[in-house]
Formats: sequence, structure tokens, C-alpha cells
Amino acid sequence: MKLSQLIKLSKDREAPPDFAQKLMVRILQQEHEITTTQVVAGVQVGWIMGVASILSSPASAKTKMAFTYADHINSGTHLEVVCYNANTSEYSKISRK
Amino acid sequence: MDKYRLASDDELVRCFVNSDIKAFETIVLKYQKPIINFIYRIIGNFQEAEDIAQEAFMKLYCSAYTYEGHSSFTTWLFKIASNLSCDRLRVRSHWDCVPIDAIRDGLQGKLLSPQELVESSELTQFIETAIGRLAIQQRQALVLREYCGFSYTEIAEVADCSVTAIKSRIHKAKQKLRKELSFILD
Repeated sequence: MKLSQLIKLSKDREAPPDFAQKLMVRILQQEHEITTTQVVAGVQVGWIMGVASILSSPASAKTKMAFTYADHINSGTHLEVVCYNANTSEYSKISRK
Repeated sequence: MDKYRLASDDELVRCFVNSDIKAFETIVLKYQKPIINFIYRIIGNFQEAEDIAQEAFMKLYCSAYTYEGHSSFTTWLFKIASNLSCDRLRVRSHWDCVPIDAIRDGLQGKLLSPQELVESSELTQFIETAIGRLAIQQRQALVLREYCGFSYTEIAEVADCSVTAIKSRIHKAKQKLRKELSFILD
């Protein structure tokens, strides 16, 4: 066996499936100077993860879930949460009504 | 999305500099795998490679407007990744690997047929470890040539040195690898 063939036996590994999403969260944090927990709220309601059941739920339900989660993990009350929508690649700041 | 898939790297960078975030995401999706694998082969730890790749794309995000197109975008991006990997190696100063003799002994002790040997994960580990034992500059040049398919000129741009130096580094890297892998080479 030749050296170049031998070297090629080491195959490329796949990138982690959430690599781009993690990166967008980091960028979001930097751009909006917001805390991790506020960003994570967006992740957990499924906007970043693209969970179908949550994507298909009405906007008011998404908003409620974002605030419930952000309040829970921060042990406080948030007036605004920034979310990232994986389908449209848009950031949106949602306010508590 | 087709608009993005069909666009060249330079077009994507131009769109992104004009605040088109989807263009940036397209670049990330296209390059995440080659960049992570390149960094992994330089530093030897996949988790850390993912972390450095994130830093590389963050740098790209923050400095894409400085890209002037003098070199290819690919070369430019790999240069960012390469510099970050070298910085990380300077901090911990060694490749993250198990002793090569132990893997070699394990492989030779198994008395595998040539076909079984080629298919064994230990051999892949042995090759990766042997590459990890090369000097950093030799490893960088070899990985860009053999795994990333870069030309000598492109590697020279990434490494900031002459084409002659790159050819020499690759030659020396292959000499060392031949020695390490002599028990399986023709």
C-alpha cells in the first residue's frame, strides 16, 4: 500500500448537527449584548432547534414559552427576550405583554 | 435558497458584508466540516476543534469586511483557522494523543490480514497519531495538501512562506510518516 492511500484511510468526521446553530447563538449574544439564558430561552422554545410542534404553535404560545423558560432559569422576570428563528434566519425581540 | 447555493464564495462574502445573514450561514454550512476536520488534524481533539472552528467563524463574522479578494476566500478562511489552531497548540504545546508505540504493538499483536488491517479503526488511529507527531509546520502543510486538496501556492499563502519551503515541509513530513508506517507500506 502506498503512503498517500494509507493517509486517506483517515476519513473526515461529520460536523456536529447543531454547529451552525451554536454559532448563531454566539453571534446573537455578541450583537445584542444579551445574556446566555435569554438566548437559550429562544433555543428551548424550539425556534432554533426547529421543533415542528413548536414551530406550528401560535405566536402567542411561543412568546409565553420563551418567557416561562427565561424567567425560570434566571429566577427573575424578563421584559424582553431575543429569539432566533432557524427557518427564516431572523432575530426577533419579543416583549412581555 | 438556490440563490445562495449557486453563489461563489466572493459573492456570498459581498452579500454578507451588506448585512445578508443568510449568506453568512451558507458559508458556515459549506465550510464547517472541512474547517473542523482541518483543525482536528492539527490539534488532535475533536471537541476542541469544534470550539476553535466556532472562534474562526466568529472572526470571519467580525472581519469579513476586511477581505479584499487578493487571495481566494478558502485560503483566507483556512488561514484564520490555522492561526487559531497554532495559538491553541502554543498554550498546551502537545498533540492530544496516546503513545504511538502502544498502538503499533496492539496492531502487530493482532496478526490481521492486510484487508483486516486496512479496515481496522486502530490503523486509522495510528495514522492520525503519526501525523500528530509531525512538527506543526509539516503537519499543517501535509494536512492542507493531502486532506484539503490545496495547491502548493495556496498552502504557502496560508502558512505565509515560500512554495519551496512548503514542498520541503511536505517532503520531510512524508519521509517521517514512511518511517512510522513502514510496517504496512510496500
